[in-house]
Amino acid sequence: MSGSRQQILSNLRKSLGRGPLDEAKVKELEKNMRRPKNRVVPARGQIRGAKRKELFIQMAEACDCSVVQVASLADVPKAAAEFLRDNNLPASIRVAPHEDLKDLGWSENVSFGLAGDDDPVGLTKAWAGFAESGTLMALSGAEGPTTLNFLPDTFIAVLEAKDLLGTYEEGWKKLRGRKQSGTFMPRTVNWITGPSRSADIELTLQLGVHGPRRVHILLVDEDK
Amino acid sequence: MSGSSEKHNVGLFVTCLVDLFRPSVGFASVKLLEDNGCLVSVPRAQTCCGQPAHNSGDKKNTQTLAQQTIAALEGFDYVVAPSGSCAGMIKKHYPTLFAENDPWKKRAEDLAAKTHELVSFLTDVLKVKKVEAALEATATYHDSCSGLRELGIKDQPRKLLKSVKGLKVKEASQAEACCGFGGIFSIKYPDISNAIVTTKTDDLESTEANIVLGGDLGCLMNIAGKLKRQSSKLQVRHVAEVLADMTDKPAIGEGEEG
Amino acid sequence: MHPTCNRFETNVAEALVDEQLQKALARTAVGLPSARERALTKMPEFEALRDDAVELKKHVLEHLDFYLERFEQKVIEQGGKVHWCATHAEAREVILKICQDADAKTVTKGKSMIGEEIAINDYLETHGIEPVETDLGEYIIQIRKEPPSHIVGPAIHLNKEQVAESFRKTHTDLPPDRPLDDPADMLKEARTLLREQFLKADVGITGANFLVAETGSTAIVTNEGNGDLTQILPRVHIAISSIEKVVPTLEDANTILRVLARSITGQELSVYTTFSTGPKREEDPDGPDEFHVVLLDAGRSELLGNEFKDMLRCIRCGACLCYCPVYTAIGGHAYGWVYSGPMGAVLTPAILGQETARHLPNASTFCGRCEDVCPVRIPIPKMLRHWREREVEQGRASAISRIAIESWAFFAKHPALYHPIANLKYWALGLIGRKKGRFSTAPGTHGWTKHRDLPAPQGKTFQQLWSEKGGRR
Repeated sequence: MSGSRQQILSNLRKSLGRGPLDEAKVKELEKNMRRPKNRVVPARGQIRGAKRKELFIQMAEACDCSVVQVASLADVPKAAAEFLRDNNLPASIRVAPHEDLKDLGWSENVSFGLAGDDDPVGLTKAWAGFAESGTLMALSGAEGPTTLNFLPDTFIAVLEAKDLLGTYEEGWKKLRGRKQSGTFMPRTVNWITGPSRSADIELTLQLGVHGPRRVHILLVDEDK
Repeated sequence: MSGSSEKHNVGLFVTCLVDLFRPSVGFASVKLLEDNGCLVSVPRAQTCCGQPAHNSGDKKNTQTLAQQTIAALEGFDYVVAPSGSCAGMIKKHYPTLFAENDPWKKRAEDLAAKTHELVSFLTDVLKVKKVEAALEATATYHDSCSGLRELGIKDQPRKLLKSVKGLKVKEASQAEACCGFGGIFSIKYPDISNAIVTTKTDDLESTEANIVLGGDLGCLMNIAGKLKRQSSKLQVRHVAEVLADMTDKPAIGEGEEG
Repeated sequence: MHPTCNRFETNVAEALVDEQLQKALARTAVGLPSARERALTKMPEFEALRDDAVELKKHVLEHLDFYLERFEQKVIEQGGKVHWCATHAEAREVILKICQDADAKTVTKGKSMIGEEIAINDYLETHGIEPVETDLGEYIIQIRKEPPSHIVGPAIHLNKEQVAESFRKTHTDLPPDRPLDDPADMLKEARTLLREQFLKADVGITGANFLVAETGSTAIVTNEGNGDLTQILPRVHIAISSIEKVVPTLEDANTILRVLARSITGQELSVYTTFSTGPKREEDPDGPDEFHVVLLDAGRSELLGNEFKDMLRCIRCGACLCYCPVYTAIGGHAYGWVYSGPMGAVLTPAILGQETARHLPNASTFCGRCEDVCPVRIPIPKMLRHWREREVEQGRASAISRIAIESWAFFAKHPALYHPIANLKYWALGLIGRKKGRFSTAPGTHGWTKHRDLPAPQGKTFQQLWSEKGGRR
C-alpha cells in the first residue's frame, strides 16, 4: 500500500509534466499555508453592531431557527424553560458542562453531561455565530460534547452577542487565536444552520431527520 | 436605417439549412441588411460551417470545412449568418481549431472578429432600433442554445419584434430550455429528443401564442415537425421573416394547403 | 453497483415510459433551479465566488502532490492514518481490514459517492459485516436494492407510496397496518430505526466534500446530521475521498462552501458543515478512537494529464443534473452507474472506460446549461466533445454518426458538386412536398420521422435562386 502512495504521487507528477516541486516552490507554498489569506468575502456579513445582530436573527429565522434575545446569561434558564413550556415540550434539559452555564441557577429538571439516547432537549453554548448565514459554530471538547448538538430532539444554543461574528473568515481567525496542545483545531468543528432536514421523499421538506427537529437560539446581549 | 452614407460590405453566410430548406430566410436576411446600409454578397464557395462534424468529434473534416469557409468569407467588412449556431461556430470555435503557429489561426481569428448572427448584427453593430414590418399575431420566442449561451442573444430579437406593428410577444415559461435538436442527436437518440421537444412544445402551446419565432432553423424545424405531428395550429417561422415583413411563404412545415 | 451503461438504450426506453419517474423528474427540473435562482438574487458576489473557486481549484490541481502530502502529514500528526489506494479493489480491501481489525459487526454510512463507486456495501456484506446507509434517501434505495438516481437526492425518482411500501416490506417488526401515508410518519420511523443503528455501530464511514491540508481535516456537509452521528458515535471513523478534493487552508474551504449548497438547493450552507480532525482528544467526552482517511485515485491522476483535467474541479453539487434536458428526460438510473447527468457523462467513461460508457457522451445536445450553472465553470460540452473525438480517432464512432458526417462532409467539401446536386434534390423534394409542406415519413429518415414530421424544402436552393436573380433580391 505504501507502493500505492508512491505510485499515485508519481502518476500525478507525470501528468503534471514534472518531478517533485523544487525547494523554493515548496517553501513558498508552505509559507502561504502558514499565513492563510481571505479570498472573496461577500459584503453581506461584513457589518457590525446592531446591524450584525439584526442580520443574524433574520438569517437564522429564515432557516427555521427561533431566536429570542435575553439580557444576560442569568436569564438563560428561565428563557429556556419558557420556550419549552410555550411549545409543549418536555421540561427536562441536558446541559453542556460549560463553565458559563454550570452555575446559572437551574431547576431540578436539568442535568449536565453528554447526551444520552433519549434526552429530549439539549442545551449548549455556541462558540460563535455567523451573521452571514445565521449559522452557529460549535467546538468539540469537555465543555461542548458534540453529541449534544445532534442527539436531542430539541436543541437550544446559547450565543453571546460578543461571540457573534459577521463572516466565516472571522471564525477561522478567532479559532487560530487559540493554541491548545499544539493545534488550534478541535476534533470536531460544527457549523449548524437550522434544524436537521431532508427533502428525500418527493422533494417534500421535513425537519428533524436525524439531528434536532427544533433549533432555538438564546441570544445574550446586554444592549438588548 | 443606418445614418452613414457609407455602405458596409457584408458577406452573407447563408447556412446549409437555410440554403437547402428555406431560402426565404436568406432573402429576408438580405432585405434586412440592405435596408440598413449594407451591400450584400453571397460567396458561392460556402456550403457548411462544419458544426455537425465538430460536434461529432470529427476534427479532420471540421478543419477542412473551416478552412473552406474562412477562404470563402474573407475580404468583407462583416460576415452575417441567420443562425446563432453557425455564427457561434465561426466566432467561438474556428480559432480553437488551429494551432498557435498555424497561419490559419490568425485567419480564423480575423473572420471570427467580424462574424455576427443576423439579429444581433442589426441591433448591436448597425444600431437598428426598429423595423418596418407589420403582423397581426401573438408570437412567442424560442431562445436557441448556441445563440443564447455562446453569443448572448436574448434581448435583441425581442427589441426589434417590439417595433413590428400589430405583433404581441408572450414569453414562454422555459423559453431558454433546449428544444432537443442537438444536430445528429435528434436522429441518434430520437426518443430522448422527442421527450425534450415535447416538453418544449407543451410550454410553447401554453403561451396561447399563434406563432413561434426563433433564430436557428435547426431548432425551428425540430419544433415545427413536432407541432405538426401533434396537429397543432401553432405556426413556426424564422424571426428574420417577420422582421423583414416577408411572411407570404407558408410557415415551416406548412405547404400550399396550410 | 454493477454498471449497466452499455444497456443505455434499454434503460432510456424504460425511463421514458415510467410515469412515476417522469413526474419526479418534472418536479426536480423546476423546483431545484427555482430555488437556486432565488438564492442567487441574494448573493451579488456569486460570479466572483465562482471565479474564485475556479482559481482555487486550478491552483490545487497544479500542486496536487504537494497538498496531498501536507494533508497526510497533518493527519498523522493528529494521530490519524492515511491510506493511499490506487484502485477500487485496494480501497475495498483497506476498508475491510480496518473494519475487521475493529471487530466490526455493524457499520453506519454517511452519504459517499466514492463509497458507491467502489461498491463498498456489497463487499462488506459478503464478508459478514452489515453496512447501514443513514442518509434517508440512501437508506431508502438501500432497502430497495437500487442505485442512486441523483448524486444529491438519491431517492428523488420515487413517490411516497413506493417508499411506504418498502418500509412495510423491510421493517417487519413493526405493526403491518400502521399509518404510513404521510412522509412525516415515514420520517419518524426511519429516524427511530436509524437512531438504533447509529448507537450500536462499531465503525462509521463518511465521504468527504473536501480535505483541508493545513489542518489535516476532512469536511462533510449534510442536511440531516447523519454524517455527524456516523462519525462521532462509533469507535472508528473512516473518511473516504478521491484525491482531488484537497484544499490548502480553511479560508479556501469557505469559497467552496459558499457556492456548493447554493448551487443545488439555494441554501446558504447545508444544515451541518462539519470539520473533523483526527481521533478524539483527551478532553473530548465523545468521538472516535481511530481516524482513517482513505484516498482513492482510480483514474484521477491520469485525468490530471489529459484533455479532461477540468473535470477534476467538480465539487459534486448536482446542479448540472437538474438543468440538463437529457437528465430531466431520462433520470439518473438510465446512465447506468453512480454518476449521472452531464458530470456523469464526462466522468463515467474516464473511470469505467469509454467502451462501456460510450453512449453517455453521445446522448447530449450540447445545450450548454450545465456549463452555465456549474459553480466551478467546467466546460462540460467541450469535455463531451473530446470523448466523441476519441471515438472518431479510434474508429469507434457509431455507424449513424460516421455515415451521416462522412457523406455530408464529402459534399460540403466540394461546393462545385454540392450546389447543383443539392439544388436538384431539394427542388424535387420541394415539388413533392409542396402541398402539405411536410413529410410524415421518408426513406432513411426514421430517426426523425418516428416522432416528428419533416418540414419539406421550399424548392430550389437559395444559392440557385440567388444566381438566377443575378446576385440580387
